[in-house]
Amino acid sequence: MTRYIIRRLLQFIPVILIATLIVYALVFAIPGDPIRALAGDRPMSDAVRETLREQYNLDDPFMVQYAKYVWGIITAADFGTTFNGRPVTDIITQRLPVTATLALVTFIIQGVMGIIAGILAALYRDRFFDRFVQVSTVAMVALPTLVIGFLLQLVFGLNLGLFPIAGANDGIASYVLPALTMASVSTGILARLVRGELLDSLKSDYVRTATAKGMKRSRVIGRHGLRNSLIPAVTFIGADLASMLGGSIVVETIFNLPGLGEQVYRSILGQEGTVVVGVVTLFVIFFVVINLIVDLIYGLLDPRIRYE
Amino acid sequence: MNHTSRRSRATGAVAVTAAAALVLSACGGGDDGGDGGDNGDAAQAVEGGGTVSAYNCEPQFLVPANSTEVCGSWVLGSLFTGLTQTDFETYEPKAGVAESWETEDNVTWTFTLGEDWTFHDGEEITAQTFVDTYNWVVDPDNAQQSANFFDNFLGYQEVVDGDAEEMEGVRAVDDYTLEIELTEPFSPLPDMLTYTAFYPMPSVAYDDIEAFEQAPVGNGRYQMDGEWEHDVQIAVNRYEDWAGEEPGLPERIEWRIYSEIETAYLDVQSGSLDILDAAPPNRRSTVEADFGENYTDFDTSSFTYLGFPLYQEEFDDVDVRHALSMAIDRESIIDAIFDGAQTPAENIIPPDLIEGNENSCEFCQFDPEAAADLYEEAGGPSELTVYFNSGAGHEDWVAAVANQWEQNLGIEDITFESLEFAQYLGLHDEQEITGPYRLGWTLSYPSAQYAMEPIYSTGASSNYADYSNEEFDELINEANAETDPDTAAGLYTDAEAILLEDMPVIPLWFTNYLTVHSDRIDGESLFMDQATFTHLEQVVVTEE
Repeated sequence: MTRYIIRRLLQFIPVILIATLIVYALVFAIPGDPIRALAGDRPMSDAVRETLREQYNLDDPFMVQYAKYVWGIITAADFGTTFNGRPVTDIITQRLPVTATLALVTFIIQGVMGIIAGILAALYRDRFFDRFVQVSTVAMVALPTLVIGFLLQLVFGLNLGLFPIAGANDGIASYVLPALTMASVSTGILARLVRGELLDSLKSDYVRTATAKGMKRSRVIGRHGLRNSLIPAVTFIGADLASMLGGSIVVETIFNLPGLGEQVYRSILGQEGTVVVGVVTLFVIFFVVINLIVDLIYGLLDPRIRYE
Repeated sequence: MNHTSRRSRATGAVAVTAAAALVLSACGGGDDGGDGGDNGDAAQAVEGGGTVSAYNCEPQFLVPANSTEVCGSWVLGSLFTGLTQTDFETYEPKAGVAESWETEDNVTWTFTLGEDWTFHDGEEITAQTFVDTYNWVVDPDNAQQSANFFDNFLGYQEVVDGDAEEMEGVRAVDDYTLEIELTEPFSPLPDMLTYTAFYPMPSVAYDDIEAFEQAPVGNGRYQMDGEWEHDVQIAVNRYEDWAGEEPGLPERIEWRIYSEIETAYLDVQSGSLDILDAAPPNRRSTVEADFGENYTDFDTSSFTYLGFPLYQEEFDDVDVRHALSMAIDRESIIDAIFDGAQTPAENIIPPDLIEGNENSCEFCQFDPEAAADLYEEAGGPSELTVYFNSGAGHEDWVAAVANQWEQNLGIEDITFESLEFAQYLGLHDEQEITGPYRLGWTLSYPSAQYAMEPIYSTGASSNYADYSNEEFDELINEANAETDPDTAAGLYTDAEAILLEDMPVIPLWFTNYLTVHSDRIDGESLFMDQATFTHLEQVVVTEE
């Protein structure tokens, strides 16, 4: 087990290096001079432009720029700065809690809602609640996040005034609408996944055996049916948590949450290579770590799975 | 000023005829409809002035000479006061830190400074303050984006080239007398000094400019309350020792930073934000339902044009340029695409300025038949590529213009080239544009000179058309050298007449901005100036 974890952790290093290189190359490939765009219609003087280009290593060839970037991280933990001089580490420390809170609230909402809805739909198959889950999940999956976000803002923010429309100034209440928006698609998928898996396992031999032995129905469903049908759900939730950071780009922008997703969008537009690479690398690390955790949870749910 | 990088600004106004807009704006207002809501009673401000919150975008920089966009310059305008300020009734310069100024030749200027000006940290402001600030700004090591606003100061080039430490042309004669000497006569200097790049900076700024930028210490009506909370908000409190004449009304201003204007719009509607002065254009049709009487709109100097790459042969012939201009029905495009919310441009100089409105633009009148004849006679190109920067809301109207060219001039094939702004400017710098291109211009300081010289003078920094006309250059030089303001104004309008005749660019429209506000604000007290800044310091807050 420990050896397995160590080996997985070692595999992270090339994954992260390659990911940063690719992202850096992509940002580098965007045509146009970001320093030129900084000033807008009225150009800055050549002297100022040259000073800035030199300051941000923009005159170096790609590999030199990338090497300087990596070297800065290794030797001085310097993740670079934006073109207006803010260290990327500052941005990440300021914004990470916002995105993390959003992800956590989303995770809880979709986990609780998705699994409960799935179980109930399976137990009351073909009854009203099941139909309701079926229809509403289709709607949730089909509607674009953007539309759901605006709808929630209009209904719960503006008309009912229950939650703030934008910003992160009202504590956890600020995160409710964005998290609901972000959770919408996954909750739908998750509910259907749990429903299907649970129905399958309720029909399986071991459940029939357990029932035949006279076990209580709640115990049959809880210990035998549910436990086995949760493995795909855990995989899904894990993968979803990891990809949530990507989804945060849209949601954070709509709800004006100053998190990492919104920063990525902004930085791509501004050709701020260092910021994009810094944040995306963080996303990559999240992704691989969460995948590792998911793999470990399999073992807990299904002892047949062993790690070599 | 970087007109294009400000969030896609709203463009909207109640449909008013151009004439009505002119009359109203001549009264100094620019407030042409939609507001009111106080039934004529003067609104009572809350005691102390209250707090006002306003939408803003995240500033790029908060060092005055480094700020080239609206988001940062708006905040800096509250934190700092320059040598001169603009009188927004007349758009002429008035006293700031300098009580008075004089010059005999427009080359050497003497400014007499007020004696009780201090920075928010208590440091006194003297002539030396300005000497130090200006020299710091032009030093290339400090890489200040607006440094080239000083390029007509004597000694600027020497400092840039590294041959001198300080500009010869900026001198402290005594504590309260500042002398500025230019390389050539420049009558709009007092106008130019109102601009953000010329604000004074305290000595603490030079020790650690990065720390300073997080909480700038200025000499303006308002001082920072805490640090700049990036992407969240900037809060300022009234500076009670401000030495100027009209202190700020609100006790506190909070700029809330949004990345999405739609979100801010909903926030104003729900009452959690007071002012959004750049309401999204598509909200124009529902604003009355959404806000009742809580909206206003303002004419600005924000100018949109289609320029010609005169370095391409096809556009050499002035008749081709006239025909392309006359084939555009500005009114119908404004109605169809902007809900009537732009003012058709018949000038280069914004109508609000004293020099504005003198000329009539013969070739801006829509006349499809004459345009078609002219175009055919001149043998205008049968294929065109139209250039604009992407993602800034230009797609629709550019397509509409192209449509009219196809219909009215029989141009068969019009293609579009839309690029990200950085790349777009790069193409201009390399002179690789092959057809009409969209650009804009917003006045950094209210002067006819600034509306023209940077864009149309031979070799000027923003002369993307590569336009060159000796007579025009000479008129601008004469106007800059003229000591009598009225004569100078006349010379500027003569220069404008040449542009309207030569048409290196097709004037399209001046943008109107739609402002929405909460019930806590007296709509009558809202005012946006020609440079698109809403004057928060004069907002009357009626409820706590």
